[in-house]
Amino acid sequence: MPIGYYFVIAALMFCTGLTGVLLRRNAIVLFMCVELMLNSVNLTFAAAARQWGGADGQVFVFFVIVVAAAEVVVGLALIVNMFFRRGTLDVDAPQLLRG
Amino acid sequence: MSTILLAAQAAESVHLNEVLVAESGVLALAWLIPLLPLLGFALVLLLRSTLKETAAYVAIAMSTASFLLSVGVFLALRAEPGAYLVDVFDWIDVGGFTVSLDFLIDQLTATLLLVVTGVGTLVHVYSLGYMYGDERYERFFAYLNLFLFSMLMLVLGSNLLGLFLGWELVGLSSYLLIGFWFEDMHNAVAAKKAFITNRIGDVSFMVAMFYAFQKFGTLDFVGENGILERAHTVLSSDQAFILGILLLGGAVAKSAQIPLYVWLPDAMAGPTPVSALIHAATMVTAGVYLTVRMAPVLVESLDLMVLISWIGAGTALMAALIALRQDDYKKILAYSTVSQLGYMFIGVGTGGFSEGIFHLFTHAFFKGLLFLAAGSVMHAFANRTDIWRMGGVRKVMPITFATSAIAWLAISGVFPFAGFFSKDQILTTAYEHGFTGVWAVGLATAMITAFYMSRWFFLIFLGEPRWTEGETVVDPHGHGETTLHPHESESTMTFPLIVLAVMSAGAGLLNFTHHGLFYTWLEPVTALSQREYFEHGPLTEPALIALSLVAAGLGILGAFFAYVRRDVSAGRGAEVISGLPAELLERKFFVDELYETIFVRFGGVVADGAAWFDRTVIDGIVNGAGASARGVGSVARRAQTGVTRSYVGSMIVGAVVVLAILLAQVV
Repeated sequence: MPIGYYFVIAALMFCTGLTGVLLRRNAIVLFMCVELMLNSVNLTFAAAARQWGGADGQVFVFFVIVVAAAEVVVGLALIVNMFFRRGTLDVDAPQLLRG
Repeated sequence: MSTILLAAQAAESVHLNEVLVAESGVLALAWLIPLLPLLGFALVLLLRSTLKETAAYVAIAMSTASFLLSVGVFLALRAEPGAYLVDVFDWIDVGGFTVSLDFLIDQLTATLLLVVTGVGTLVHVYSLGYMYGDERYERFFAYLNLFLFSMLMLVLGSNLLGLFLGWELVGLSSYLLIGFWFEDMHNAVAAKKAFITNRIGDVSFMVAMFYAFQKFGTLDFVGENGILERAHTVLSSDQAFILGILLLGGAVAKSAQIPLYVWLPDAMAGPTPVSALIHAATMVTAGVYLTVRMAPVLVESLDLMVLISWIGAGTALMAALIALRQDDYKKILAYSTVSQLGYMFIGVGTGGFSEGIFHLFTHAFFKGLLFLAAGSVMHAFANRTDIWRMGGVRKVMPITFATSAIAWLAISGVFPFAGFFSKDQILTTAYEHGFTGVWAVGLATAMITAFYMSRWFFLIFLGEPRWTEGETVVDPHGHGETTLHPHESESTMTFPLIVLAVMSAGAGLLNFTHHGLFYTWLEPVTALSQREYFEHGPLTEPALIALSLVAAGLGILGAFFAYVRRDVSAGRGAEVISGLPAELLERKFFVDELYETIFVRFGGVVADGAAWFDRTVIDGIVNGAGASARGVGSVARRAQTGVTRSYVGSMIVGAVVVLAILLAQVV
C-alpha cells in the first residue's frame, strides 16, 4: 500500500482531533481529541519508518506513547478534581484567567 | 628663593638604615603588638555581658602586653639598628601590583610604639576609676583597645596603604569615642564633625597614594624600590610639591592644622581619657608622623617646606590666641593641643624632622597629663569645666595639683622640663635654617602659650575657691543634681598622673643638647632628608635659648599679675583684655561661622538642587517606566480572555503560520 494513504488517514485523524479540541466543551472529550491527534502523529511516524527503513520513527512512537501515558495520568487527575470542585466538565465555565 | 642645595655628600657620612628582614627574636614577634589589642577589642565586645567589670582588666592586660613587646622591640633595635621588615601577609596581589600588610620597624616606628602603648596603657588604667559606674563601661574599654590596634597599624605600616588602613581605623575609633555619650545631641554632632572633617583629608591622602603609585609603581616606604630612597631621583621639584601637598591635605586634617583644625576643639565632647589619649597624645600626631615618614618627598620641594612651616606657625599662633579667652578648661587644652601641633609642623617645615618628633614625644606626656589632670578635677567637681568657678583646688587635690604644676611648667617651656627642650629645639632649627619669620611667630606663640597655660593653672588651682563645699551642681550631661564635695581622685587615677609627671619633667633630658641622644637615635631615619636651607641671622644658639626662656618667663609673669595678684572673684569680668579683640578671640575668629556660611550653606544649596533633580528627573524616569508598562498592560490584557479554547485556537493559528513560513522556505 502506498505511503500516501497512511498520511491521508493520519491527516484526517489529526483534523478530527483538532476540530474536536476547538469545538467541544466537555473536558473529557477534549482530552480524547488530544489523544487522537497524538496518535495520528504516531501513525505518520510508524508509516514513514517502515517506508524508508529508519528506526528513528519507531523510537519516537515509543516516546510519544510514554508521554501520552504520563499525560493521561495528570490530565485525568485534573479533570476529576475540576469536577469535584465545580460540579461541571464545561471548559468554558471557569474563566478565572480572564485578564 | 634659592634652590635646595643637596647635602648628599654630607648624608653619606651618616649611617643610614639598612633594610633587613626580621626573622627571629622579638622583632619577628612584632605582629603581636597590634594583634593583642585587636584580640582585646573582640573579647571585650563579644563577652562584655559575661566579663562585666573584669572586661577592663582584659583590656588593660592586652595594652600592657603590647607595651612590654614595644619595649622589647625598642631594646632589640637599639642593640642592632636597622629598618626591619616583618612579613605578615600579602593583602592585595593583582598582576604586578602587590600590597603586603608587612610591618616596618625602624627608630621612628619604635619611638611611636612606645608613646602609643605607654600613654595608652596609662589611660586604660586611669579609665578604671574615671569611667567607673558608666552604663557602657565595658564598651569603653573595647573601643580603647580598638583605638590602640588602629594606631599601632598606622605606625607599623610598611607602605602607604598599610598606613592608610590604620589612618582610617583611628578615624573610626575617634568617632566612636567622641560620640561615646551619644544620647546628648551635642556629642553626636561633635563626633560627626570630626569624622567629616577628617574625611576631607582622607580623600586628599587617597589621591596622594594614586599619584605616588603612578610615579613610583609602588607604595612601599623602604628598600631599593621604595618611595623614600627614590624620591630624589624620580620626582622633579614640581611633582614633589604636588605629592607633598596631597599628603599634607591628609596631615592637616588628622593633626588639626589650618584650615581643618575646627574638629579638634569640638572633639572634647568625648570622655576626658579619650581627649588625653586620642585628641592630645597620639592620634592627632599621626599627621606629623606621616610628614616625617614621607620627609624625603617633602624636602624635594622647598616651596612646600616653606608652606608647611607657615601652616604650622599660623596654626600655633591662632590657636594660642583663641586659647587666651576660652573659659572651658578642656577647650583651653584643646586649643593648646592645636597650637602645639603647629609647633610640630614648624619643626617639619623647617627641616627639623627629629625635632618635630621629639616635640611629639614630650607633648604626648605633658598634654596627656594635662588632660588627665583636668579629668581628675572634672571628676571631683561633678563635670564642671568653667575655670571661673574653680580656684583654690590645690588644697583639696594635692596630687592633681602637683602633677599639673609640672605639666604646666613643661608646656610653658620652663627649664628643665620636657617642653622647654623640644620647643626650643624646634625654634632653634627654624632660626638656623633661615626661617626667621616662622621663628619669630613661634617665639611670640611661646610667650602666649606660657600666658594662657598659666591662666589655666592659676585660675583652677591657686587663689581662693570660687565655689562652696556642698553647693548644688546641675550636671551638664543631664544626670540630675548633685552636691559638690571635691576630693582627691582614687589611686588608679593618680598613678597615671604621677608616671606622666615624671616623664614630663624628665623626658627633655633625652635630648639635653640639640644633637643629643634622641637626635642621634632618629638620625638613621632622618639623614635621608637633610638639606641646606637659607642663610640665617646673627643669633647663636645660647642667645636663642635665652630668648625662649625670657618669652616663657614674660608669659608666666604676665598671667601671674593678671590672675593671681589681681582680684578675680568677679569671675569673667576680671579679664584683663576686653572689648573687640576679646570678643574676636572668644568667638574663635568666627571660623566656625565662616565655614558654616561657605561650606554648609553652599553645600545645602547644592544638595537641594541635587535632591530636586533626583525627585523630578531620576524619579521621573523610573516612574515613567512603570507607568508606561502599566499602560501597555491595560491594553494587552484584553487578549487574555480566560477561555481555554480561544487559546488553543490562537496556538493553532500560530502553528499554521510558522508551518507556512517553513514550507515557503523549503519550496
